[in-house]
Amino acid sequence: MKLLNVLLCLLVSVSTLPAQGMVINELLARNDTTAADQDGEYDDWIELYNNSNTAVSLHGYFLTDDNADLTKWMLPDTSIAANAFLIIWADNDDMQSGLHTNFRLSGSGETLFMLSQDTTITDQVTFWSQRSDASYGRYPNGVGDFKQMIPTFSSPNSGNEPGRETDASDILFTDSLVHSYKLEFYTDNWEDSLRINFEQLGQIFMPARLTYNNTIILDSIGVRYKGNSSYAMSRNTRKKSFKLRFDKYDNDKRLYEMERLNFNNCVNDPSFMRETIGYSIARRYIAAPRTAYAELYVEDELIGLYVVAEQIDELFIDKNFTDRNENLFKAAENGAAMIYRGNTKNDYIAEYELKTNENRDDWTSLIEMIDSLNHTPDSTFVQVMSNHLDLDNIIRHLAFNMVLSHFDSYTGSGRNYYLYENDNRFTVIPWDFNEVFGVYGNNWNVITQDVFNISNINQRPLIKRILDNDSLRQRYVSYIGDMISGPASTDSVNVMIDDVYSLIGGSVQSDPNKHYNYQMFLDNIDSDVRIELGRLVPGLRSFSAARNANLTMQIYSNEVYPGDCDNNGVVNELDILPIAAYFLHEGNPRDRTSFNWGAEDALLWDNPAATFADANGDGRVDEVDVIAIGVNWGNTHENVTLSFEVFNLDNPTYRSNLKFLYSSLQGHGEAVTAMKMLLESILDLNSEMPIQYSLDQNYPNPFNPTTSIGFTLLKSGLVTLEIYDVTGRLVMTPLLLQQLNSGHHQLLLNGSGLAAGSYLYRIHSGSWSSVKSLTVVK
Amino acid sequence: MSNIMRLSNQLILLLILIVVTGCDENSPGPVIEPTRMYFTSDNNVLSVGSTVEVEFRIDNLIVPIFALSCQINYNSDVLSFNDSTGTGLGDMFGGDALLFVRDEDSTIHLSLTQIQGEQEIGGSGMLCSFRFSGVSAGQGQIEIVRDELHFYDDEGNEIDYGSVEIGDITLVVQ
Repeated sequence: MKLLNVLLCLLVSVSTLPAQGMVINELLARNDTTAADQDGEYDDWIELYNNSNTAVSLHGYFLTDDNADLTKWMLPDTSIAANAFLIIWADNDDMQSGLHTNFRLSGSGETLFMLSQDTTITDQVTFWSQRSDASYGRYPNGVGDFKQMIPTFSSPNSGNEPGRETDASDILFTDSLVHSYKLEFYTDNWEDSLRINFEQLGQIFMPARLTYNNTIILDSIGVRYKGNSSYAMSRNTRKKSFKLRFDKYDNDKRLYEMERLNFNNCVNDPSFMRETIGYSIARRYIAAPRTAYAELYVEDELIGLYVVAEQIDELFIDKNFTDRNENLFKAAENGAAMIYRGNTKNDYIAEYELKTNENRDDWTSLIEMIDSLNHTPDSTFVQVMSNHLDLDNIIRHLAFNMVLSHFDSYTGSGRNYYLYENDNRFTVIPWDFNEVFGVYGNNWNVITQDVFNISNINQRPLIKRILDNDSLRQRYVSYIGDMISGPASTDSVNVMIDDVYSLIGGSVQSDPNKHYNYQMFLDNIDSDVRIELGRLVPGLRSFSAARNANLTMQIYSNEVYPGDCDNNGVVNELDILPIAAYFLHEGNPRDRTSFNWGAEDALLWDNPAATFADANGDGRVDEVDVIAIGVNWGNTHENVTLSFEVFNLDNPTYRSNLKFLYSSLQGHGEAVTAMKMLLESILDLNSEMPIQYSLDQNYPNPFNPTTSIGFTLLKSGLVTLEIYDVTGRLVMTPLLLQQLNSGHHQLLLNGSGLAAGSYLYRIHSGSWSSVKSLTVVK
Repeated sequence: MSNIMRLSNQLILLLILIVVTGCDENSPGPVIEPTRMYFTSDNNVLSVGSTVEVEFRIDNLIVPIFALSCQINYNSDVLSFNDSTGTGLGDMFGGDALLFVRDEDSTIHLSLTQIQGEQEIGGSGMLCSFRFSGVSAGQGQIEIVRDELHFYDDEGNEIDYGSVEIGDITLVVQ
């Protein structure tokens, strides 16, 4: 649920409000069964909606999924009636009659832009990996933020959440319990047998009987040790990593639809959390394995706590990609640099292993991709490589490696990744996260590694070519910013750590063969721990805080344009939000305090977004900064680095701030109207028509001296709010018989006159009354 | 505001000064009224729980401004101010201006600005109004914080209006 909340916040942060009434209203990037075009083809579709009360001509409008090619597909001469819908098929088949674009939507996520005739971006939406037959649309229809929903093809968006896409295997990756797996081998000396099988006989499997969670029993599954360097490091311990193959001796045998599972022993990770948290973050951006925790028993002996990781195989492909029968290559242990070696399979056999379609054994597309990657001129790089690579996926992958200092990857060692050819374009699937959060050093400075200046860049053409291209480089920076302000933010990581700790703490303590003692487990959650050979394993929390701070310094522009408070390149209604969110925050003042339009150098504040809200540079976000919006309204600049997520609506303070802002803004001109509409959309006020009276819990609570009390009136009327002490004595009447309209209201209560202690606050209007308690601290 | 307009404004001000200073020393002549910011209310006395509207006004704004910001303190032991319902835009800036009000710890933070492309304003009129409720019996003073009062032209430059007279108001809650 927490992850879902974070995701929702992220989605809010990446959707922008439209201009001119025309919006991208809904899209379906994985259409299996929802609606077919005139030829019966279930293609991706995009729904536009006209929010205005007049028909709008779309002649000369553009749609594109490539910010390097903003005029990729021009709409024909068509119009859309007032408050009407228009469906466009995104099927890369613009020769088909009707509205068909020359691109498909990427089911793994991308950004879709709509542009007007003068190539001004009028609307855009960024979406991540999409589920089959679940659309991504605005709710409320036409004006709200994007969310996943049940498709409403060419009709108003319902906002109804789709049923979660599940399959039986999800039960194996439930994160609410530590799972139990028991193996019983058909031999007494199982450890020696497994070791000999693995080391001397070519990693062959050994049969065993499996009992899962004391309920499911599978006879004759295949078991072997696994790993390379991780095996070597745990070779002399009882806790080695395992691979279980359920279909080894019976092709139809499955455990909840899974054919294989990996049991990783967390060597090099005293925290036990690197893989689970790392994959959890990665899955927000790219297809990556699911994980779970499990206690592994052999016979009745507990071997220890393991991380169970999903295998990258045909089932994984089926679950994560639309094109299900293509080539899957795995990078070799010694690395696969994507350097052009020649035009035959033999030139690459040492670097890649083909994991699917082995009989077809066709390496042509891989070689063509590497050839193009290395030899395409800069001027046509994006255009050409878009036919070979899912560039957006690649960029997210590279950004992730930088954020979590995952250098035992393509970025560093060149290994631990797969390439899958989905829709004729290769996409990267990451693997082996036991050394994320900076464990893999090898001359990489895991805290301060520069995201652009990479020492081995000439041996990594994929990185070099992307960073050499301005638009791709910008996208890379944007994803780093998204990650460190979203799923990989220190706050988010801390929440995940707390959740995992409560789940596995007991299991770690009782693990008889853990590689590091329990105190090291506890220590490594917060701080660095030294393991064998003096190797330093960064603390999860300390690493996250230090790395994110360093990345912030690297990627955020230090130039402030007064009034562009969200640093998105234009002074508009969005700029009121950071002022509300960071009101009275203080930080480094600038050398020059002015509203004059132009770039001003600034030292970033602890919260970088607040730096830009301080429009006049006096070191404090306050009412004065609002003036800059009025003075510079409509001004633009090109020096955009990132927009900030300034309003996490799960944060009660932000939400309360925005509600106050909405109520207090006055004026009827363009600026105030736009701000009001924006706030209505963000706060979903239109859907907040009261259906009943309610009294909210005050926030903050406890408080000193002020707190906010929200309440909702079903009908307009006289309202009284009273404060009583615990003996029932009336001590304050902050609101007495005031006529208020129906709807939601916020009252700021000043408790400076109250002694510390608990009080009751009672509201009544007409025949309705409600009571809650609050606490004053001094 | 263009330089020409700014120059013309300054010339007007200069002409007024010439007229004033050019008069016979013994004649009373016209007097330049100082710029003044103050509060008015139809009713300075209210009971606990009742509400009054207080107008925030400015007179004799000689040099036109594009925006202003200020802070206003009030006695929250006696008065309550609710920025979500208690503010109205006055006639001075017109309906297209942006009025931002935020109440923090007995201080009203206020900014009022035209939007780029609109004219600077001058003269006299109501900036905005506030609605206060009586919380407990006593004297509730409402006062402008002089150090936090700022005026700006249409390019965001602060205008030195050091001679502004400011007036407080005291509401009596019974």
